[in-house]
Amino acid sequence: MEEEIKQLKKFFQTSFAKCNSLADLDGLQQNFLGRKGFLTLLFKNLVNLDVNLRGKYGKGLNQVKKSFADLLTQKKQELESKGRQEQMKSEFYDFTLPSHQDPYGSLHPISLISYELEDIFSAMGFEIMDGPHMESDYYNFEALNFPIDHPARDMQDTFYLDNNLLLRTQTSAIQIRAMEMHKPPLRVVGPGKVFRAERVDASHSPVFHQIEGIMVDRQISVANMIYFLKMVLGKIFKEEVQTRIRPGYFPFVEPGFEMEMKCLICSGKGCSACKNAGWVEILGCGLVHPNVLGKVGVDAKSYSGFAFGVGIDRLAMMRYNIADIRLLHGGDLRLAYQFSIPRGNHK
Amino acid sequence: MKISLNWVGDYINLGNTSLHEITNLLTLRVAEVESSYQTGQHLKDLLVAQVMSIKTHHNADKLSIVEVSWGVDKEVESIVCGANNFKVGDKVAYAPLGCQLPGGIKIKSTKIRGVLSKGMLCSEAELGFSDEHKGIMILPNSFTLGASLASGYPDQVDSILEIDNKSITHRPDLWGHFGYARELASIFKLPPPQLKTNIDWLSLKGGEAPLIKINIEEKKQVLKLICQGARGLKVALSPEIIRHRLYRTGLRAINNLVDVTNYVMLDLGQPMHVFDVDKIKSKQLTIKFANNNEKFISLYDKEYKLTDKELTFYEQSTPMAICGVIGGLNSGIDQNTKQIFLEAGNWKASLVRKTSIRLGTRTEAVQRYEKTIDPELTLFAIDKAWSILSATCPDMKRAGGLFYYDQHYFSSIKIDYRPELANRLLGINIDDDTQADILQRLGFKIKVIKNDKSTAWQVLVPSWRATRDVSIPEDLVEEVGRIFGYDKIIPQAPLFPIDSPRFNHQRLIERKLKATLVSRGFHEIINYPLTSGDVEKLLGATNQKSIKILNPALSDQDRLQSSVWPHFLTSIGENQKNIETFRQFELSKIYLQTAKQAQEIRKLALAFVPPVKQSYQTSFCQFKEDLLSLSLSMPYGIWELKESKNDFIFAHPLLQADIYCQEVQVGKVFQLNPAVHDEFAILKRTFLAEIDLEPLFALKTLTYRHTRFSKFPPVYFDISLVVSANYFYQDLVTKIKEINPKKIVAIKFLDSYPIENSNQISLTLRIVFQSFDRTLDSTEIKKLQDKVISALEKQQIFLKKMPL
Repeated sequence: MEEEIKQLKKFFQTSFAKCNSLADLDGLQQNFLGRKGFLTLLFKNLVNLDVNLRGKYGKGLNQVKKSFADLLTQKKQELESKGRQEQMKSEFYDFTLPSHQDPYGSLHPISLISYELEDIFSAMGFEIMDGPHMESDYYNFEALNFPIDHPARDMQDTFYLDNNLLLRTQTSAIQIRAMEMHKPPLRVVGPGKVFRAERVDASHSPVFHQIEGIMVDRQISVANMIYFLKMVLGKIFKEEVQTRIRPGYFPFVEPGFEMEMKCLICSGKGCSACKNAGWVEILGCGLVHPNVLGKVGVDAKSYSGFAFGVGIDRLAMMRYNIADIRLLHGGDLRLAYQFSIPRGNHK
Repeated sequence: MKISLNWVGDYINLGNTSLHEITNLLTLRVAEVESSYQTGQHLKDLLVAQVMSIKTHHNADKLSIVEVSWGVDKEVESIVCGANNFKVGDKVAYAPLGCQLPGGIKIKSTKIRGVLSKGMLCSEAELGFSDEHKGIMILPNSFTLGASLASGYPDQVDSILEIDNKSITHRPDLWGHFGYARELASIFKLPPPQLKTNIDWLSLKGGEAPLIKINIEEKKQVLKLICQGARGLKVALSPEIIRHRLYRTGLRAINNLVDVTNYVMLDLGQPMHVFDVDKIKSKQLTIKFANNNEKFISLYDKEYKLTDKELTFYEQSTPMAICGVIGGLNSGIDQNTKQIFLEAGNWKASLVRKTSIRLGTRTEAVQRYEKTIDPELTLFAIDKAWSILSATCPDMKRAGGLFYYDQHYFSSIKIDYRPELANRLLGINIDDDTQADILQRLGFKIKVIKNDKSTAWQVLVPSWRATRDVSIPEDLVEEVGRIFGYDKIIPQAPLFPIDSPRFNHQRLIERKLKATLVSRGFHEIINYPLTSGDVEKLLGATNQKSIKILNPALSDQDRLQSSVWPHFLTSIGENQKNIETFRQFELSKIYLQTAKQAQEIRKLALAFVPPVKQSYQTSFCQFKEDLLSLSLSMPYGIWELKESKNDFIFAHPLLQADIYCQEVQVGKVFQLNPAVHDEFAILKRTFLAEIDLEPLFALKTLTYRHTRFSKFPPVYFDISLVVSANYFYQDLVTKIKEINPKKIVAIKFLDSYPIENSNQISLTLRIVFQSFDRTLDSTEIKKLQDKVISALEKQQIFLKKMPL
């Protein structure tokens, strides 16, 4: 028996060494450990042995069986892993091959900027309001303290419609609607299209976009307005900005200002972007005129507020390096495709 | 408008304040200075020289060789010169080598036709004095040889500020140099300039009759009018300082009588007019509204047709000048004018502006009158003009008395003001004395009324700010704030009440639906909502009444769109030229006029131009997936497509469906009608959808809800059917579901393909049977299967026979 075990071990070793495939391994398994395998036969032979020896060789055979099985399992794992690796070597995908369908859509630059602004203002507790494009003289002019013979009311600037309405020339009309709906304190922004009877060129368009904002509360001052607008501009341009205000005239504010921002491109040294001024006009603002507050029944003695208006098209042009406003109005998808994938720095 | 600092210097002494500082402070405290620059710097390098000899150039008939000298011991230079308007002994402006002239010409020694020329003799144009370029400039004999031209023309060494006219629309006092002197004086704390007259004109009022009798018919339209006749005039050149100043500030000098009106206008901001008295035969003028269709020829020889809204000076039945706008050719001065009638008036701003719009002319006078200038300027203007004219016309005498009319249109404005208001509104502390100082320097007068709590003032607004500009306490806050310096305000966080904003849900939904479309490969476009009648005609019978613009800027943008499709389809056509397959969308409005009201209706237009090689059914299904995704970006539930028989001009008559949500129609999906492809230069099959946001937003908002799962296993029943090719899948599903709504829990589409040589398709479905209370046994399942098959057979739909 001892000799037989020895020989079996030897035979296994030589066969095992030759084993190179899973099929070989399977054969080996059958030959040695299978139902009719050598080891099984030896186990069967145990019955013929002396009872004393039976225990001894039985134990030995079990050890042999375990060692064979371990080797086979190990080898099997090895071969499987090798096989997987071989197969993986032959597999190849071209990652650069385009997908069948172009998955990239885009928002219009105007929407991108509008939504960014809306998010900034929403986060600061502003309600976002819409107003109609077709407005009455009252909302567009009268309630906003435009004198009856103010040049802005002339046919040159305002599109008048055949239904006694006009196309709003400024989103400021939303101020009035907001104050009619809500008593102060209030914080509202109104983005949207505005219309001016202008001829089209690289920087003028008869239709463009503005966002108007108003905040009314007790004790709102110019200092508050500067703080607020500076913060908003910082968020829009993603860096701290330097601002200054200078007198500006809008009938619905008093005092009225133009806010300028130190040119981000040249840091105020003067460049072509700021026409060598070092400063860029960025928005109109001011304290809400007492006449405007009066029109909507807000007591100007207890309340004050600031209002501001920003041209969205111009912001979009600054942000995305667009030189001609006409590109923003029309359906050319070649522009749209450039807004699928961001690839520029913020400056 | 252009402002000369030398001119401003007539009123205040700016010392050596830098141009940069003046520019900056004016911008920050008064009005936007668009640009500023120095003039006449080159004059410092140019010399007064004398012509010593003139010889003809041996190689060129038109050129001469001129020798000039500029001092006793100085060498003589020879210059090749093209002009011949001078003689030996004349003093001329010599530009030596190395100096630079306006326009960037640098003087170098050059050979002209073989002769070396060292320097240049300059014309007025080359010096920047005028447009005169016929010959070189001959200098006055009194000029010292060798002196710089700057010393001869010190006023030409100047600084010019270009003010943005838009920034002074509300400041009638800033349309002349004097206004800037007043502002700069208060910024730099210089003695405030005062206007004074040389002659006590008011004492002449009501004496002798005026040279021309003025009859004002429209007394309400004339706010103030002062006129004075004069004789003994002689048309000549204006003094050079006047000519040069006019030129530097953008006007052209003509002669002393014309220049004086322009000069006074730029000086004080008060337009003037001069009539040639000899041309007013009757010696009478009437101010009245013109006759309709009256012809009028302006002093620039341009013809206008007047209406009965134009306030006009008439001599009998002939219009002589349009008040506040422009003078007439028939009464204008010419070379022989000897007697004049000087006029300084003030007219209703709206009247002047409307006339200028009707006539289409926006003269310098109009630009000033439409801002409602101070009527008090009229007298100062007459006085100033008188003193300027007397310089060139020493024989000038007053002819007739002073005509003086004053409606006292503007009453004086007194504002009750508390200095604390400025502090409260600006968010800064400016003490009472500083505020008073600022206001007083600007011409406001303050009467202090003390009371217990705080200082109260009564502030009298000066006439030049009282025409509309300053009327309420907040206006005074602006005056105090700007001169004190807005830059001194320290930004301060406002105290926000903590409350969440009211959300604009519709806008949030709009954003979500856009985001969904973008993630499915759609590109957003924005078109003008303006369109034309020609474009709207394309809408054919579906066209509704569009809203027209009364004053369109362009004829192809004369109304508001009543449909999104024409612009949208045009852009699809354009984009098909560049891109093979794409998706685009636009969220815009259409504008409709109903009997009761004007409506703005939000529309979402979608387009899918599929790959040409892809089957139409596949392409459509992709588009449908887009639509269903879109529907799920909104809280109203999934959309259903239903058969549509709309007569919509852009839709393929058969390939169209209506979109329903909560049983309400919210849009339509269709293939573009091939009949209109050409109209929009569309070449390929295009799928479109129009979503109506208004009915969608009116729907109930739905939410997600869990129902319990069945504990018992589902049983799948897969069948292949033969159905007619134009049978709707959805109808089939409904039929099957009806058989046993409780046990048939789902029907899934597995496959379909057309059966060759037939008008039928093979359709494979999986029907899922499941019960909530038990496991279905085989008899039950068999029963259900049979029921399905027999129900379908009733509809003439049969199981597909499997080939053997």
